[in-house]
Amino acid sequence: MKEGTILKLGLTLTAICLAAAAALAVSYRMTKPTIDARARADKLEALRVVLPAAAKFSDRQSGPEIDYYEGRDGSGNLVGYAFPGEAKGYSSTISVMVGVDPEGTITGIKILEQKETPGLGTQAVDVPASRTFWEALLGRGEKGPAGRPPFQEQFAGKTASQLQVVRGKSEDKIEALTGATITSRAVTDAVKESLQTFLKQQKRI
Amino acid sequence: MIRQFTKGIFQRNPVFVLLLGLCPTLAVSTSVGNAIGMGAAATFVLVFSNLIVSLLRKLVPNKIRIPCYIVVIATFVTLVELVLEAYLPDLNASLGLFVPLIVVNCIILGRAEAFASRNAPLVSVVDGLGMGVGFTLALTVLGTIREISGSNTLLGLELIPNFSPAMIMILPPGAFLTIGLLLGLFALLRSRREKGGVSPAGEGS
Repeated sequence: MKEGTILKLGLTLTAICLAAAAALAVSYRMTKPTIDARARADKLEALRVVLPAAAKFSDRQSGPEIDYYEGRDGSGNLVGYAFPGEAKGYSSTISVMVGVDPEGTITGIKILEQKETPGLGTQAVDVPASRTFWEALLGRGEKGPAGRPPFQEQFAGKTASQLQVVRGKSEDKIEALTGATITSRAVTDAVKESLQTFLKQQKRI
Repeated sequence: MIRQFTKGIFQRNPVFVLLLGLCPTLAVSTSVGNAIGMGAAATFVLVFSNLIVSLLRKLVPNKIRIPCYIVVIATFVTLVELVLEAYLPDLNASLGLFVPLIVVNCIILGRAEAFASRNAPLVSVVDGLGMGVGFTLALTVLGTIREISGSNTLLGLELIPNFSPAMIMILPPGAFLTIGLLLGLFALLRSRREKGGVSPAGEGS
């Protein structure tokens, strides 16, 4: 191959790559503000869900063991803390946000990220639809506001010692999802471990 | 021109006839919503990569055409990813890894190499659109069957109250069962029409 040809090939490829890079740079700049705003909104939404009593949240406070957020009500009283946790699930790392009141009782949890088996592990984030397909097709039934996933709702009002997964019905423990015991345990472990770490850290301060 | 569009849907349907792009087809067809989202994203990439490849077909030296096509395709996929992340985060979360993997979806490189690099821009766009619609339809058929039989829902809404669906249908084995039956059905229909003609061969996966 002549040197001239190699040069020509290289230059053509360079030109195409440059054009592609320019196009991507422009679109990255255009979408970045929206993506960042959404990430912030998601975080705030998670804090609201896990600590419903709080009206305002502090910035992320760094602790020696675990970072946390402080939640205060309208008049500035401390109503609780929120902190992240994670554990290995069946097919992904599950990350959660946990909210507790100052006494250490869980006020709520929210699964932030998971890639569990669709239809099994993902039941942890599923909200049952309030109406059936046929009702929707005929325009009957209320669409209703999207509720919270029942699996995650179980955690509210529990303390660290009650975080045990059981099969079947239970009043004071965590009921496992049908066919997704590993996911149920992983979520519970993520909550329990981060809660224990946080409480230990609080005692020391 | 119309034939160039419809061939992607019937005679040369990328999934059912050419057997291209089976990996994303099997993976994301767990529900109708996912199927349509994936189909739309792939169609967008297919149309624009066909257009650009066709425009560049006389400028790009033969020796480096494949790297050039890949750069063009990768650019559009990254664009789609940014747009999904910014404006459709729920869909982005459920499609997950399969959006970046559109880059290596053989339908797209296949059409760039086999069609767009040899034809005028307009007809290449039509070809891309037809193939994209064919891909989307195939995904939707699979998604509908799997969502109804595996989750007892359609578009997330319950179909039959108090009915326990066949979980296997939304798991990977269900994908293989469904596509196997559909491919058999398609082959049967075609061989009926050709009256004893040879069964058409796929072009690799």
